[in-house]
Amino acid sequence: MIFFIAPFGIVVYYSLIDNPIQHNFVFLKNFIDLFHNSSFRMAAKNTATFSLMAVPLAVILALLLAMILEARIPLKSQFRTFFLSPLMVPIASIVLVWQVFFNYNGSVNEFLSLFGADKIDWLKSNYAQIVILLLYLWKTIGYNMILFMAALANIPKDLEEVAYLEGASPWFRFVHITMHFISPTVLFVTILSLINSFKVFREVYLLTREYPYENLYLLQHFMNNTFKSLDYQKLSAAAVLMAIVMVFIIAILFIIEDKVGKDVEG
Amino acid sequence: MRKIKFKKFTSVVLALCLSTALLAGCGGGKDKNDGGSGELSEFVYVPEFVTIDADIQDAQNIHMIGDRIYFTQYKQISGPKIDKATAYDNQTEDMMEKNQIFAADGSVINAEDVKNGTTLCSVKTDGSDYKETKNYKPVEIKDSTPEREVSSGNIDQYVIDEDGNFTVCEDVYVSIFDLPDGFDESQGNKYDYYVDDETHIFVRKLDKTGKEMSSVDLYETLKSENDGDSHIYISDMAIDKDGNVCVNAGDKGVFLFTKDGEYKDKISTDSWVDTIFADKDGNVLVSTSGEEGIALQKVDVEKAELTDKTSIPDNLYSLMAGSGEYEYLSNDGSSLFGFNSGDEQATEILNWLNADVDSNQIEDVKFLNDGRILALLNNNNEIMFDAGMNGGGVAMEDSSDEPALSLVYLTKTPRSEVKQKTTLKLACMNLGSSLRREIMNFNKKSETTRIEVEDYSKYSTQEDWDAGLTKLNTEIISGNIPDIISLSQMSCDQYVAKGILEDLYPYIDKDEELSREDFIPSLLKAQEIDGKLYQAASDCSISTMVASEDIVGKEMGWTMPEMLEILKKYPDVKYPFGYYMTRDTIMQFVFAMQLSDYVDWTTGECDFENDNFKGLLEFAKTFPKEYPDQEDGEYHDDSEMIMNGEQLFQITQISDAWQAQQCKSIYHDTYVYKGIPCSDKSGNIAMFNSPIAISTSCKDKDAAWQLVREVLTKDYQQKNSWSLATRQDILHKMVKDVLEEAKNEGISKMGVGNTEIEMKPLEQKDIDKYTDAIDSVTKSFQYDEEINNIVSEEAEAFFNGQKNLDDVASMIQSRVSLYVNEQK
Repeated sequence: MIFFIAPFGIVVYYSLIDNPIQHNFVFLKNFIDLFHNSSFRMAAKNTATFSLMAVPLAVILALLLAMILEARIPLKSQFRTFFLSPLMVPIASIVLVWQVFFNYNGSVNEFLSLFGADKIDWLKSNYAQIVILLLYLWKTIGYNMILFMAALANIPKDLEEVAYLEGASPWFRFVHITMHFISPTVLFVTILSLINSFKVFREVYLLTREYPYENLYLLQHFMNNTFKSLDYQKLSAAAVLMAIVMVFIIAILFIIEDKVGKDVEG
Repeated sequence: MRKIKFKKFTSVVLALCLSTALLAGCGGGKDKNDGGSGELSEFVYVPEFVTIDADIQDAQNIHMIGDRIYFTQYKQISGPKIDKATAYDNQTEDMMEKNQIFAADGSVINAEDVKNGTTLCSVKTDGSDYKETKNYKPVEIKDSTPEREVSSGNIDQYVIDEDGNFTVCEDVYVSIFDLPDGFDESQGNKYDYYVDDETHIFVRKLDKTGKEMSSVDLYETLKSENDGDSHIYISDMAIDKDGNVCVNAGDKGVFLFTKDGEYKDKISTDSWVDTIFADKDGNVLVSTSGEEGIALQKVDVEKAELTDKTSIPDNLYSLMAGSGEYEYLSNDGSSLFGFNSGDEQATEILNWLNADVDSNQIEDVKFLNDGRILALLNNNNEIMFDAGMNGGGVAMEDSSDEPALSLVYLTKTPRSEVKQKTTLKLACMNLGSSLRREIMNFNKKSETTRIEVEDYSKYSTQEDWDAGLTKLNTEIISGNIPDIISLSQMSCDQYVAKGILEDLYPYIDKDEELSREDFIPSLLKAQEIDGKLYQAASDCSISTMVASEDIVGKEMGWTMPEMLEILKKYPDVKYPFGYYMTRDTIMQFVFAMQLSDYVDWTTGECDFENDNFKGLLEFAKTFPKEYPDQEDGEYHDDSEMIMNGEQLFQITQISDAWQAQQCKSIYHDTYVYKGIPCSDKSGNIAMFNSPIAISTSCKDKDAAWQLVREVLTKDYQQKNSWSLATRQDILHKMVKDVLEEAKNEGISKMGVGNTEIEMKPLEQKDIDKYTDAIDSVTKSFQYDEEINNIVSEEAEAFFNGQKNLDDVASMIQSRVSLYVNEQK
């Protein structure tokens, strides 16, 4: 109550008044203004686009890697360490490395120029989201992979062996046994990846500051900037909207997980 | 069962602790000491002023030692007695030509016979027992010849030992001329043959009466120590407990002298020595500032080295010896800070203004044993001296009736024990001296209200210059809103959009003395937002571009394409905007001044992909990033370059009407205030100086208005003669005075660069041009740092040739649009 509901209640209150001085109740005006604000719409669109691209990729690629590493390949532990290493690198270093790579005069452009390609200002072009997507995946996949590896290790081996002996195809075993058993982990990894996709703002901000190229302008930019410009009402309305959307998405994920992996937990 | 109860109890306690932390963010505390808009300190300092009733006309180098105040005075030391008040009264033109003045007995004498010089004086803190060091004579160099002109000695600094003996630093300048054989000074100017000069710094030990005990000329020492350079500036001195004297010469290091006045050694430093002083224990300390910040070091006179280096906070610029509970004191111009070794931050002891003390007058501060603070005030900061060459001439007296020296005793008193008044908080980022004086007067006069100032600039650091402003804004959004805000460095529009500022028109309309008609309509209009006036400004300047009518035509106003078209006609003019014009400067003037051309704040639309803006970028690209090296070492004066046809336009500020006289003379009557190029051709932009506003949550708006209205009164505005007042009557009077003076004075001469030009008297048509420029103002300068930063950052890629014009314009359009739309 005190730690979550009360602060959230204050934010909801701020989203319903005109300003912190007069405190006049304006009901949904701040929300209506927000929907009319093209910066907010762009931020929401970019955030949604990025999350829609990033979250499935972070889940699928991590699961793929986990399955590969579970397949008793050589140098398994070295690979695991390799994929986990991004977690240990400080944000500032990651940002520096990405700047060195994707700067106008950076390594990527230098490399591409060997093939006669024109220079691209990666972080100020339509490729900007892809650059950030790469950064996100590089940073997220390792941790997701470990979670999946733990989940895969917990699948009862006898079930897989029975299915194998009864001639079930690999795809059938994957869908009906593996996915069935790891569905709670898939849900957890998806939620975690979704949260991490919102947190990528930190890296974007350090790379491009408050006002980046338009397809990198995220909801957190909007909220951060409105806080700086003292627009508490707009900020609160955006936060409330974002919370509603998040609750909605997570609720859907829970419903799906409930249907897919019901008997696993039960 | 007991376990469950314990767990419940623990969780309730933790919840309460955390909820307390949450509530801390809500602000509203009343008895904190660290400032904050809605907060008042628990204690106040009550001043008690004591006038030093001695005939002291000028006091410099003032020190308080024991119960005596020591100072130097620049005064008449020889020649017929002069009464300064009447020396120049009724002086005839013939007397002026012959440099003659009136003596005190009314007789006419040569001004050169009157010699002024520095004397060492002291007086008791109660004003009694005034003494002059009778045997003191300024140091002399006796080899004055026509080739070597020697100035008289002047005391820079001094210290006093416990026996009352002085060690003084005096400078003597020797100008050296290479005169041709048979040169006659009455026929020619010997300064045409000036070749060099020497600075002689004498360190002299004098007894109580001023009689010289020893003297050292540092000239040869300085030359040998500083690679032949004898020029140094002595900023201060200190004496240690053994009587050794340390002289601070800034970047040239610290010079050490024995107690007998003999030169001992020099300590070189890597960084600039800011101050030197003796601490409570008699050790001499220096504060140095360099790349690593400010450091404090002890002077080891025996070993001639600095030891015990400790870092101190960046905001402690002018350190003084501490007293009371503090090892060191620092006065930053608005507050007195105390600091002890090991502290991470200095403690603000008091805000001078809130104690009714003008910090500009403070010379010395001490803590007394009874806990009071004693400050020595010098009212002579504004005294002007017309010394003339070699000390000839008469010291001009300050017109002020206030005594030269006074003391103020400040007693720390609980706020509850002083007379209760409504206290209004005024928030600012650095406070101008005029407003500071007005607040002091207001506090002295008002029986019911008191203004307390919170200067947020003290929270800014070298790493974050905006930290103070961020703190103020954070306090505002958390509901701690000051009663009055000095809007200098702040965005009036932003505060208005948040509903923080009060419309001042109803107050003007209600005021018995003021009315809207008192103010210059265009300037009033330029300050309005949606027909309301949210700020009160006493004065402003108008940014414009001046050019010859023959080049740009007679009409005011032009667009960027029109300006570029004119530039094309003069391809041979290498510096059309002056020698020192760089890309950043031209962008600052032409872009930042005309932001409204590209941004519509109401609709949120931006237009940076048009030809006008692209033209501006292309135009800015033609300017150098930095101005060219001056191989000849000469200053390239704009006016001189215009007269020589090397420059076409001059970016300038319109302030007083006298400026028109300069334009008239430089452009030979054919000048026009063309303005900054912009699409609606209204390029004369007003920049208002330090406007103030009342907040909508002010606890006593009528009382706040009593202060705010002062900046709109005639009395207040006529004091600011250097800028353009917002009142019509002040403008009319200035114009009348200028015309009258022009009529009486006729043609005079003025140096412009290396050329002397005739200053033609102003005529009505010039005044009309001047007032037309003022009347043409429709907008005020609104600096938007964020947009400026985005444009500068992106434009750099175009200037460097990395990106083409369209890509850069498109990128600026995209990024600025985001910003502008956010603000809607």
